[in-house]
Amino acid sequence: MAWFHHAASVCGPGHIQDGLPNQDAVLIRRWRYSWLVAVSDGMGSRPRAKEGAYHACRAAVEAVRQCSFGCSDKTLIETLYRCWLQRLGTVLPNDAVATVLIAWGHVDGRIRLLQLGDGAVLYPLGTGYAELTSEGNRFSNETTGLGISRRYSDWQCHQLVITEPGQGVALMTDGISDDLEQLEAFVPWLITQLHHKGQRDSRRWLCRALEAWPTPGHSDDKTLALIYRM
Amino acid sequence: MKKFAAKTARAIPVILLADTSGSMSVDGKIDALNGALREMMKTFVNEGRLKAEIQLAVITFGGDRAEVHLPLTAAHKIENVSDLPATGRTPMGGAFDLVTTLVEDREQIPSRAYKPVLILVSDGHPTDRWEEAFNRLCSSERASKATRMAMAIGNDADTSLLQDFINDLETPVFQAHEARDIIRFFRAVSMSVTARSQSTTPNQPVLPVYDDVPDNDVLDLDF
Repeated sequence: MAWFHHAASVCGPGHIQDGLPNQDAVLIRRWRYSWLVAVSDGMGSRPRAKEGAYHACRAAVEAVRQCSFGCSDKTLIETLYRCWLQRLGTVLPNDAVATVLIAWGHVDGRIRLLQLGDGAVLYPLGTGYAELTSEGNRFSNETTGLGISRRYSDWQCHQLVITEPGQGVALMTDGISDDLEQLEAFVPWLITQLHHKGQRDSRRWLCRALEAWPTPGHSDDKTLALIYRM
Repeated sequence: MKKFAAKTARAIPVILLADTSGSMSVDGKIDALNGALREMMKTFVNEGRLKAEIQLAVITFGGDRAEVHLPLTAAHKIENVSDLPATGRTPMGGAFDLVTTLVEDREQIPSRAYKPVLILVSDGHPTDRWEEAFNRLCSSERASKATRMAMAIGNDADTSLLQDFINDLETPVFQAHEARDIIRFFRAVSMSVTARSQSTTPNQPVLPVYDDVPDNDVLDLDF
């Protein structure tokens, strides 16, 4: 069995209207024995949100290179956070607040998931799919992130093993997740749609689908990353 | 993707807590409130469907108990809301309990909704045990996050309670001394909510701007 991945990020109509750039970021890295998918959403009200999201994804790469796959969640989180702060340099963390969602996988099927802030990570559970965070008591656009959170308990962490072909993990920003219905069926459907497409075709297909997002009044940037075994 | 995306815009719930006690029937206050409410609904219908869908609920407290006069409904679907009556006592605590229950109900106000706006309008002092209900509202997980605004009608309103109710220091309790003030307040709230609904960041409060009301638009009522 092999791992396949697809990802896309599009600027939301709200940012296009305001002349702002896409403040989401996505990054996928594949190595010989492991891989990493990172997605981040810069908090729109912050002046350096785009940089915050960009550095969040790259800080995730640095963190997994510094940590062993078996390290504790807390060690991984602290390493990631320190890398992010270091990358920001003179930029104030509070000016660059960003969510971070990561899936760090081993070729043998083990996966570690981490999430800080809104958005969604969908992973296989039983015969269906589950969301890493529950909706809890929040309202739309109400989130935390790197640059605000200082508590370990703000993070959601999970470990799983994917052994079956056709199973995967999807990470997305809240521009998608807040309007998403039928979570159980979404990842299998995506895999079916994308599996026979090449990287360029799948990115184009995803961008088109995200730009034509049908929810009335949607305005957020939208970023989706999918990795699965087949 | 179409089959997986929500078909309705995210909602901004607006919940009016209206004092309908007997004292509101004096000096035409309830008439002014009914007129202002109708105007606000019309504004929401005309302007509230661009980026977010404005939803409105009305909870009244008068007579012996608080009750839901209008369940939470998308503004463009509201039809034939009867005028608010004015009778009996001021069971404001009951209204706090009803609004807390409503905002905590994830079926009615899901997580994809923006923060609700609660508007308390009163001309008197509560006659029930409101303190515990108010504490429940302020300490509840979701209702405590709502934006809370208030209008005191006349000089007999319990302004210190209303002051405690609001949670946005930039929007102090609005004092209505005559009918035109009620209209001004509701117009300002309507504009603030519709501005939020058209914003790219609908969770950010928009400060109400209290414009003057033209003389020919004012009912001849003083209180």
